[in-house]
Amino acid sequence: MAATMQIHEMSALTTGTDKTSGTVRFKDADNAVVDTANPLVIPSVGSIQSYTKKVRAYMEAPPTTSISNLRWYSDGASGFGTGVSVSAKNIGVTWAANATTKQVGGADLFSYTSAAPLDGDTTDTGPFAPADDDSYIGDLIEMQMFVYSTASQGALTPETLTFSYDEV
Amino acid sequence: MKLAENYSFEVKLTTGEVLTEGGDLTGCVRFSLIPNIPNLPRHDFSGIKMERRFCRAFHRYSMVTQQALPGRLTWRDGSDIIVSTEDLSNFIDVGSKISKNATGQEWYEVEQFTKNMIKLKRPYSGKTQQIGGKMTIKSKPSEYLHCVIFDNFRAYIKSSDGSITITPKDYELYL
Repeated sequence: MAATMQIHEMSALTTGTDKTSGTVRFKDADNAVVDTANPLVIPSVGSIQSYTKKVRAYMEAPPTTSISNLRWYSDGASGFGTGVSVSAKNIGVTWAANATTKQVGGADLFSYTSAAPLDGDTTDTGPFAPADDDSYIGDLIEMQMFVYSTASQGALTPETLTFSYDEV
Repeated sequence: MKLAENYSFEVKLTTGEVLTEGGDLTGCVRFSLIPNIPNLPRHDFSGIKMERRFCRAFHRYSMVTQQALPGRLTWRDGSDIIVSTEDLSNFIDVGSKISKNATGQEWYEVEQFTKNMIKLKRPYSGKTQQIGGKMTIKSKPSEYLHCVIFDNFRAYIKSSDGSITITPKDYELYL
């Protein structure tokens, strides 16, 4: 039987909300609720940041043998428009509370593509066994949205994050 | 049915033993991908040295908002079936969530789907739409590849439609 893997939006190292086939909304609040509250406000000068978002893989049902090679990537082309960007990085398994503090050391999310994905199991390394059932596996991926004064107001077009893994 | 279960595999060894688990294809004389649903092609590989197999899964999720489904859809109060004029198989996956529109409406999880029909996990509750209306989905399609590594090339087979991509032996395919 094939494994069932989920993508969770994390509120602690091992606590999260299932967002598989769901939506993550960058906002000015630390919660996983997809609503119109706490929007990001375009600054008159410079830029502002959303609260960071962390996602992690969750093994909902085990594989026959193993799961490995966790990868995260975008389609390589930001559809968010001028003045909006998203930064991403692998932060291992060290939890830090989500915050609006500017992320350091991240790279443009859209630089991670199918040809060059973000490695998702460099600290919590695979292969992950059936014994890891009902637990979080791999590393935390932290993202943050930046909104600059040059951004246009209104809702953004959707973007998609892809999570990939190998299974035996 | 989950996308990953569209195909089962079978490994026949030189000893005559048939395996349905594992990744090592040493001593394999036939590797078969057997469809579990209609309209998918069966694939058999034989007469060529094989090394190992694995599957590669792709889950996609949306950031910020959602997208409209193409075509016109009809649904009925109390029914868990939605019918479409368009082929939705490239937009929908089991577990996707759909809604009558993007704001203030309830989201319904997809349990099964065919090209022109969606079965919801629970019945739709609300105004019946018989002449065809619009719905919105919260996800893009996932994919599940079977990969077979041969002596000097790889074959990736999509679980969604059974199509094959042949690549160099060390090529890592990400969709």
